[in-house]
Amino acid sequence: MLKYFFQRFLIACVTILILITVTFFLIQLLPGDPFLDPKLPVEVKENMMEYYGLNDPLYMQYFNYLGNLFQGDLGYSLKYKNLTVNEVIMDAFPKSVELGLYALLISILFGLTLGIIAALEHNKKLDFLSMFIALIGISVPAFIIGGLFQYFFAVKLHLFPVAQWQGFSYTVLPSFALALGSVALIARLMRASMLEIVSTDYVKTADAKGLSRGQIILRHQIRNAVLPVLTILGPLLANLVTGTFVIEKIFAVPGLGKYYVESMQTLDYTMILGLTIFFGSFLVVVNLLIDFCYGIIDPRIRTKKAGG
Amino acid sequence: MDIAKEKFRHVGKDNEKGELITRKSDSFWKDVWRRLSGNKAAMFSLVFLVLLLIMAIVGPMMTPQSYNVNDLMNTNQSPGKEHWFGTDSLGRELWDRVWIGARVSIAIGFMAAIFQTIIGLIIGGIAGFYGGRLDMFIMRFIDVMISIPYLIFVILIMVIMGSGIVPIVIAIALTGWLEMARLVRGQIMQLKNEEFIISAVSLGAGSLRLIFKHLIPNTLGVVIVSLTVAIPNAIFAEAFLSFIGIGIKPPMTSWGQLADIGMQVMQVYPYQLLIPAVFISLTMLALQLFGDGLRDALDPKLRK
Repeated sequence: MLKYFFQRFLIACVTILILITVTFFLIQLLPGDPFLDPKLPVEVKENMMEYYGLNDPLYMQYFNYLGNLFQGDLGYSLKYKNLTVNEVIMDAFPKSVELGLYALLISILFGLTLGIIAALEHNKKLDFLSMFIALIGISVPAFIIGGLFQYFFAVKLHLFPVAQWQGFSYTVLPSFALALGSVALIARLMRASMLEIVSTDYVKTADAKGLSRGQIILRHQIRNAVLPVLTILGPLLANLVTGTFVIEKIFAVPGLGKYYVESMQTLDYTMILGLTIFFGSFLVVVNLLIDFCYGIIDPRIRTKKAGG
Repeated sequence: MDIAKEKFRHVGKDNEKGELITRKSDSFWKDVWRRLSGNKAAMFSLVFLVLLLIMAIVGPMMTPQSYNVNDLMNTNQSPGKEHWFGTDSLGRELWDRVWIGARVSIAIGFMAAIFQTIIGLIIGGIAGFYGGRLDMFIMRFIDVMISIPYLIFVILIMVIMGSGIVPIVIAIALTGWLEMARLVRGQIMQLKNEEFIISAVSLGAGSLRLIFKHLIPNTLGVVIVSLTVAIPNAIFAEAFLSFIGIGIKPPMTSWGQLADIGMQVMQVYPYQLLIPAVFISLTMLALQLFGDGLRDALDPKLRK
């Protein structure tokens, strides 16, 4: 048990370290330097380079960056004067988390419902309808869904605000647009998982001993079918995080994804570096926690993984 | 019921004829095709994809205008007789831009998927075939790399290499091979212990013969299935990158970029968003359905 947790933890640490290293050195390959303004006197530039330690050999810069990182300091943004990457994260991350949590909630709620309905109505109309919705959710990219939602529900029907982030009604469209892909994933998996369980011995036993259909579905089928669905929480989360990049852009949500996309267009090096490390580490840590949860819920996983 | 005895004739027992196979046996691929052609959704998708491919080739030639020539007298024209899909804010013909975008998307989808499959096949094959330390090292590396979401890496590579078709293909291929390598390695490990491999070894087959004659052909089914997943993924990645502004840059165009531009003028000229949106969605849907159909056809056991 402990060995399994320790192994996972070690892999996660190595992953984050590699992520930091690779990102740092890749960013160094970018052309130019932070002080490109031609009006800047050479002496000033030289001083600035010296001040920020940019004249040091690369390995020194790397260890400096690592050192700062361990103290939780991601450095200054190059585009926003007087703003550190930390401040940007502190300001914007809660909004992204809010959006992500709504989307997660929607995906679980709607995904499970669709999946269960489809399985119970196997090969009937509702099954086809649910799976058709799921198919759309899987094949249509989030940014298209976001754009279409915005056009039909906000511009045409005036049901919700078009963009911005100023209250609950503003969160509805982006949350649903972000969630649709995940709804589809969960619905498909839940349906398959439910259908598998219908033919197991314990469901037949429950049926034979006279339990009502509702009780069998609630107590035996759904409870057991949910477990495999847990295993896609990791990919789901990655899906949601990368989804926020486009959804926040479309709906002008001042979240971290919007800053990330912006920093790529303006080549704000420290911001790209800092946010890449932040997003990457965040996902690695969450995946680690999910892994721990599996280990606790399902003993088979930890014994299998520890052996291989 | 009465059946007249004269209708029957005793032919006797012929040991040679008893073993005779009267019909030529279907080859594996013929079998696959038979199953696939029975799948309506997959066949519709195939027809759609073929039409798309043809239109991507001939579409831009059907109008006198060009996808990258501005016509400031005719900006933002609605779709109609003059301009089949309308024009954009610089008066460029959307009809042409959509089909050029289709070329870009299809080219990226196929190239990226093929490259990542080749890399994955080689590395996964090596890991699975030789096993031991090398295998452990490769698999740990893949474990680490795979836990970072691939889009983050793709974005990083794109930022560094700049925009364009070639950087996108490289970025997607460099991140996409991990899953493929894992899959191939698992297959090879499993196949290695099969009897036909053991008998080939005992008959004196060398490594090369084993790999190219026995192992790779037997992993082909799995590889093709994941190829059909890799193509839409790559098309999606390109659309995503172009949409956030680091993929394909104007005057070159792609569906993701068209959607991005369409989004900006959506309130006034909705068709500029709707047209690329419909094309992206239908193509992804068709690829998804065709991939599902192909998977079922290649391995009916997998069907649920």
